[in-house]
Amino acid sequence: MSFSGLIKQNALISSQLSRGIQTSAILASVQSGRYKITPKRDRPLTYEMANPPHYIAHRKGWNSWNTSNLRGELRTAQCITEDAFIRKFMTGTWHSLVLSEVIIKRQFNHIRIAALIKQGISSRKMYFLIGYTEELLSYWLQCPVTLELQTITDPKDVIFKYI
Amino acid sequence: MQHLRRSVSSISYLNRSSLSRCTRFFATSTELEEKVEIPNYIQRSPTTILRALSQTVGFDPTAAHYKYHDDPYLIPLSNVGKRSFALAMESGRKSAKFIRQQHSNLFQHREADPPIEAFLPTKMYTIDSQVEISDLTTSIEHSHVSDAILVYALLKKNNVELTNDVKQSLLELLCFYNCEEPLEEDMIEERWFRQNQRLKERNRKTWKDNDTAEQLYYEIEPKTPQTYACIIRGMCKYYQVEKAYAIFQDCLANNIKLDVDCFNSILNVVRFIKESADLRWSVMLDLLKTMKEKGVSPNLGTLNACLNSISEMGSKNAKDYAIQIMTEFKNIGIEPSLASYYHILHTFCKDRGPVSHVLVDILNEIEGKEFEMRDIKDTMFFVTAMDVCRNHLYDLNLAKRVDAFLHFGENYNLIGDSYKESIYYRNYFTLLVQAEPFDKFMADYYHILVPHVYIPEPSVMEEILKAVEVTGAIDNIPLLWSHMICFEQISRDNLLALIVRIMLQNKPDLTIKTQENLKETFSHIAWDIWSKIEEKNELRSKPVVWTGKLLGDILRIICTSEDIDRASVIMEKLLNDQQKILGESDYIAMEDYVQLCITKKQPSKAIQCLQYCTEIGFNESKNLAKTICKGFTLDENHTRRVVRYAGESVIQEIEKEMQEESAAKNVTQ
Amino acid sequence: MLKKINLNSLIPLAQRTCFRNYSQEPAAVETVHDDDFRVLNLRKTKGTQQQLSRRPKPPDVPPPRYKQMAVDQDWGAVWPGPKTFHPASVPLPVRQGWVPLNKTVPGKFANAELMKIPNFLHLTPPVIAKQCEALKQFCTPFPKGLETEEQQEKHFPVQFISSDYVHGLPTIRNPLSRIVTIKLKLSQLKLDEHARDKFLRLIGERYNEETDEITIVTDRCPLKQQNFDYAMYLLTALYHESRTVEEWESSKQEGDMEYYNWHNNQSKVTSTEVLNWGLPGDSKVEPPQEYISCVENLMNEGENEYNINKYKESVVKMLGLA
Repeated sequence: MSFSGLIKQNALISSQLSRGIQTSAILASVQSGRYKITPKRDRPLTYEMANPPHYIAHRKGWNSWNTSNLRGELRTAQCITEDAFIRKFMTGTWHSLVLSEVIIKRQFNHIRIAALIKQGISSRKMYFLIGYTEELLSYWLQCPVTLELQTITDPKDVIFKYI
Repeated sequence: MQHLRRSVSSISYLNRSSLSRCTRFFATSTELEEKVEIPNYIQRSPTTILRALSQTVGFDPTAAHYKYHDDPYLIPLSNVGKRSFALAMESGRKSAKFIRQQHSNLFQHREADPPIEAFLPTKMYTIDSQVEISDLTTSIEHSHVSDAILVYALLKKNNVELTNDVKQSLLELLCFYNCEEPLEEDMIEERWFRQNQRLKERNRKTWKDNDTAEQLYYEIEPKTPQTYACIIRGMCKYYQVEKAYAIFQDCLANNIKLDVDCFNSILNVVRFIKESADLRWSVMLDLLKTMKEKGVSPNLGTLNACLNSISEMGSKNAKDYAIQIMTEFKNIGIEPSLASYYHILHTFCKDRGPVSHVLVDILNEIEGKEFEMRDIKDTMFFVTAMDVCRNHLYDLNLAKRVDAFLHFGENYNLIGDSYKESIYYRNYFTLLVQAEPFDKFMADYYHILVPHVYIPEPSVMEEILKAVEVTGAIDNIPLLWSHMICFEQISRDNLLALIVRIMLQNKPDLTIKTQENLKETFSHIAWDIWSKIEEKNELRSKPVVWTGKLLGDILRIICTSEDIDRASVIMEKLLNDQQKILGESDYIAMEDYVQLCITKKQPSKAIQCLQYCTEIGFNESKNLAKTICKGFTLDENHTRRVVRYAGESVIQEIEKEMQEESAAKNVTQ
Repeated sequence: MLKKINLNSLIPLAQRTCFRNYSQEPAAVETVHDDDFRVLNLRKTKGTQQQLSRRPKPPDVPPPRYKQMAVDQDWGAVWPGPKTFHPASVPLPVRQGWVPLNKTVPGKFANAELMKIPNFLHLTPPVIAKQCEALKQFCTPFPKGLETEEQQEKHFPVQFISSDYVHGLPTIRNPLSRIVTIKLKLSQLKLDEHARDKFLRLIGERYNEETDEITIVTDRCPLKQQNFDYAMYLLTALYHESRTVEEWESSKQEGDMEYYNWHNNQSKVTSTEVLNWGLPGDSKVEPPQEYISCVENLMNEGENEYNINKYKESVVKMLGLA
């Protein structure tokens, strides 16, 4: 057989045995919400971080509780952007003190924000931040906002495993 | 910010899970055989249901006030903490408000429908802003005094004509607030914790002469009775009595119709018009007669104003006058408010006067009734009543009745501010500690009210500790000590001395279950006192000065638990820092310490103690030296040191005693 | 492995203490030479230099407040409204989390999962009972004489159905809340034949024949009240329109008839012709009522077995063939 003939034949065989692009390896891998294992195995993960996203509703709860995603509900997109804003605001205002994800619950027009906070600043300063956050967020979102924080003495308490 | 507890109108209260259907039926025909009676809809305001539900919520003694965040780190446990936390939160709110005003262009989006005004930036006026009359009226409506003044000035500059109505309402605003910006309605914590500076300014004139209010007053032409009434009331409120009285006399002379509130405000300041008690009384009578002539019917304000002036009159017949006024107004049918009763208490139960039981009569009348704020001095009633119960009458049952009345229905709203509340409870607590059986006091009052409702001041704590001393209820000591730490009262010498004395004099009975660990606990507490004060002294510029007696007592307590290390630390402090310590410790402490050293076989420490004794100059140091020699087998070094401190004769005396003892032994054998 | 918060209690009291943490080592003191006679120094001695770089000791945190709670406390007072779970205030020893084999489930402190879950601690049965008691004062008794459906229909024949919407959002407006539905049984309206016929033609498909119900749905106005007014207006207009007889109604033809009337139709002509065929001209035999009704039924109700049989019988009877 000629060389070109061999190539043609190989192409024919490989096309019969080839896999489609939708099952190719690159597309089938997911990276979101997963943390890489370190060689020293000393990277701390909270329970939230340790469970990848496909465990939501199985081993994890949701961080954001509202009814805007039901059928026929209004303002879905605005709700999501508001939640993103609240999370950024919390992380920025309580700088390096927020130890968990910020949990946002909406009941009627009352927004309840819960988070785990480190006891890194004095309680008086914390009260200042609480008053400031509640007030400013309620001005921004035009809903009454309450904070429901849990303070933790030792940041190591939130660590679930080391990876 | 409309916080949940204050704004209910911004929240709609039907939870949405699925479509909620409501069906309504109508009657179409009127020819019905049986008449169907449909009961009427029970009218309710937007908040009645919430109020009904909130009545079902009881009292939780383990929780702090709901304004504090419910987290162990964030619950205040001292008066300083309570105050600073609440005010810090409020200052956070203020800073958020400031940012909103500064960057009002960023807060223009309107998400809420219907729009909630409290969340939107307020309009700010500068010297250059274009203003209209509507701006002025809105400023007046929202009680923004400085804004109103600015807008008014701008309008005048632009020669805008203002109607007399607008001018009148502006005058009323300025007179009420004395051209000063009032504290915002939102700032409830600041209002609550304001230490009543108004009391100090009570007798001082604060009216701003020739300020915008007066200028406006002179500008308004023609002057209506309301204008006069307004300016008189404003001046009286801020104690500009001369001008007010002058205008008042003019009005009476020119037959201008003044209303009852005007008369009330003049009656309030009678004591500034005249000097002597009789003249004041005659002025009051004149005013009342004038009121009657003019056909102005008196109201509650008149009653309270009269009583106020009577209580401050300084007259011997003040009590009679008060009773006269009360009966007269009762006959008219005006219900006295708590302020009237406050004035009566003030008149009758003076510190240096005869004892009066008028409070009993008052309570008989008002017990079981719910009161609301009808006069600004209503809040003074409870403080004064409890003060009378404690200082004037010393009656526990009466105090309990007052307390029950305070907690009846919504009467707790009339407690006033934090200062009045703390004084109320202070008096109540001291009375309880002194009069109530101690166990009952602790169970029913202390454990429930402390520390979240009331934090005892050091004087009250002292009373409690004294009661513990008297009754010997020492199982409360650990709790009281930890509370003392929380309330930051550990730098009080008298309290420390007291608690240590109690621990010393009352040996815990190990057979009783609650007192099993008390011996250990006591020595822990004593060590705690030591370490806490040392810690505090390191940090503070003004350190607490130790007394020798205190250190000695602490030493004794620690010795009972036989902890030689801690005891020796204290001993060393006594020895080395003598110039910082006030006074000297008791000799018994030294003896106990030496006994402990003997038990633990630490001769050097015992000799240190001997050194201290001789340096202080105890007479019994020789006996101490003897004890040491007998208790230990001393080597040369030690003996040398003993001799140095106690003197040569000691050794000889010891040898002599030992000889006598052995001789005595031989004799008996 | 999650650790619980340390609860060092130096004063080992049962319930209600704060605990304090401090260092155990006593301060080191220099020993004085024994042989020297110590000089009295009344001037202020300098203490050891403080390490200013040392961070101030973090303040002590009191123990969680559930330890002070009595077992028989009023829980409604502790948790009056919906609140995120807080481990220091809830006395329950709950655990939450998925762990592989042989590991401990994470406890309630520092557990974000427990905070995420909506809890109903504010609605325990005793609290619900109390709240119901408090709300009873706003309730009125159900009116007498309206217990059964028939009575309700008799007194209140018109049904007005609308929906209100609430959201977990800053707004309370929903465009769907303007929709108004009115339901009425046609028999409640006093209509004669003509009026009924006209009414039914006017409302078209809004009539449900099985339940004899008219349904009018309005949503063309922006507000519910406006839609309701419009619906009532429609009802009134329909009623009055159907009662009035217009001039052009008299030009109703057989093809417009909504039902088959034997008297207007060919069947009458043919059947009388057939019956009277051959008879002398004076006497007119009318077809019997039975036949008439059978034909009408066949035409109006459609052909079914019963009707056809009846028709056959009546025809047989009429023609005397039996």
